[in-house]
Amino acid sequence: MPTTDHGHDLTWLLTHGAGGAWQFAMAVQSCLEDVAAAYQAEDWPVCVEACTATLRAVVYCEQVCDGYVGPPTEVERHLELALGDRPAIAALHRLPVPPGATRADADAARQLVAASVAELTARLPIEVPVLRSAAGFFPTVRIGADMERLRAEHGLPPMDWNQWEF
Amino acid sequence: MIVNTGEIGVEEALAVVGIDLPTLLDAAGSVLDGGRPYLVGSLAVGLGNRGSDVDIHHFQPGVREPGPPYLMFVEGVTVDVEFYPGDVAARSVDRFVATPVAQTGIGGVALAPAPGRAIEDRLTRWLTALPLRADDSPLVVDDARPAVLAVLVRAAYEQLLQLAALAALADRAGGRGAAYLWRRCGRQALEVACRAGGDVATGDKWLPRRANRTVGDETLVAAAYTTGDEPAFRRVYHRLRLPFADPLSLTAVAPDEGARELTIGRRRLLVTRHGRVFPEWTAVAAPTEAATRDVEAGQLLHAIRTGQLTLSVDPRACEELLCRQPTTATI
Repeated sequence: MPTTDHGHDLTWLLTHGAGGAWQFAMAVQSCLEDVAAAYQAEDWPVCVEACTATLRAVVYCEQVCDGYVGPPTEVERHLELALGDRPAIAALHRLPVPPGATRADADAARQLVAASVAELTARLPIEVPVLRSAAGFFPTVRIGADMERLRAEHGLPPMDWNQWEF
Repeated sequence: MIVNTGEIGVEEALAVVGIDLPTLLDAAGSVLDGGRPYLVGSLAVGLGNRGSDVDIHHFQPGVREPGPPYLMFVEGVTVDVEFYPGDVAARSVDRFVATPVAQTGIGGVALAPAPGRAIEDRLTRWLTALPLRADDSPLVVDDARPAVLAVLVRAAYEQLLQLAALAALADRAGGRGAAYLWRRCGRQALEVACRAGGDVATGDKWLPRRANRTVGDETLVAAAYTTGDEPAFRRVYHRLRLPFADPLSLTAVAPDEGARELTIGRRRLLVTRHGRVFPEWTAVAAPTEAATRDVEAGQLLHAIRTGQLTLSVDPRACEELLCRQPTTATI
């Protein structure tokens, strides 16, 4: 969670921060699982492709945290990835080429992803457990319920949890 | 040829994630009763790995509209079931069977605008769906398959034209971002070629495997991923036999319909559908090439990137290009 000497911005936490955390659960988590599965299968090209998808999801998550109301079109996504100056975008441009990728390429790609994901998670206000798992589903429902209660107390309407989805 | 319809069975597909059909049906219980359940997604087209989800679309009489997915876990495997009205697949396909199709160097391409991402994803899954019950028929009948495939090729082709227009604008704007955009063009050309070869799938990560099995030329596939400029991209699309012309003449820009102007005091502002506010903005509606005569290319890119303008394919110009191919036929 971003911190300052003056504490955290509650309105941001209940709006854009919550959206970023939710998008992390909906998109970045599943991409990370794809990376792990491809690596375990020793499918290096697919692993690198999954790393590309992960970094795209990280970039979008960061945009949501910054107040971007989504989803972007494919045209807008690719322009952002072409012209943006976020560190995660720079990392994406350093990824190896998927066809012919080796284990070393997959390792390098995973390191780039890990660094970008770490930067992102440091910004998120809450940690959402792995959503698509038996252990993560119900705790996530609880987090959503807590958020809605806090939003209501803060004078905000119910969250549209789907507003950022592609 | 539609890849992996009849070429892979449900048991073989499920074996990739380490479960069998009786285990799945037993664990699902009544969730998969009362309708026609189909395996969709990467497993159904011979892709996937041990970590893949089992994606099921269940078509049930009495379901009025698609609802939220039902998630369950079977022996550590995530099973995602979506429910659809019983006849929705047939109704969706019926929309497209009479669409005219241009026969091009890569095969059939629909002569109608792409239907939108949500419909595109559903058609992709339904074209290659595997029935979980042996008595259930394919979701898309054989006679309709070429028409549906032509629609999916058209969708990928429109995305290619849009990317190429962006790359061309980036070149004119001094080159920043152009290399990335031309590489995306090469990659998208592979997607078009795969679909034209009958290989359709959702999920970007499978493209290397799909391209290798459909294009069958690893050197060409590698070249398509590394087209960092227009000449390299042209070489790739010529080798893939894709119909192509100047993308700035095949696309148009226009103000985004989701943006709105507002006034605060005496100040006029533009609010985009992404919730961004601009005190100054670009408003132009024209073919992209014509727009560049009034607005500098870099400014156009900024306006598109930030949601002030949209860039879309001109359907009439696109279809005129497709019809300049050797033959045109209506399926």
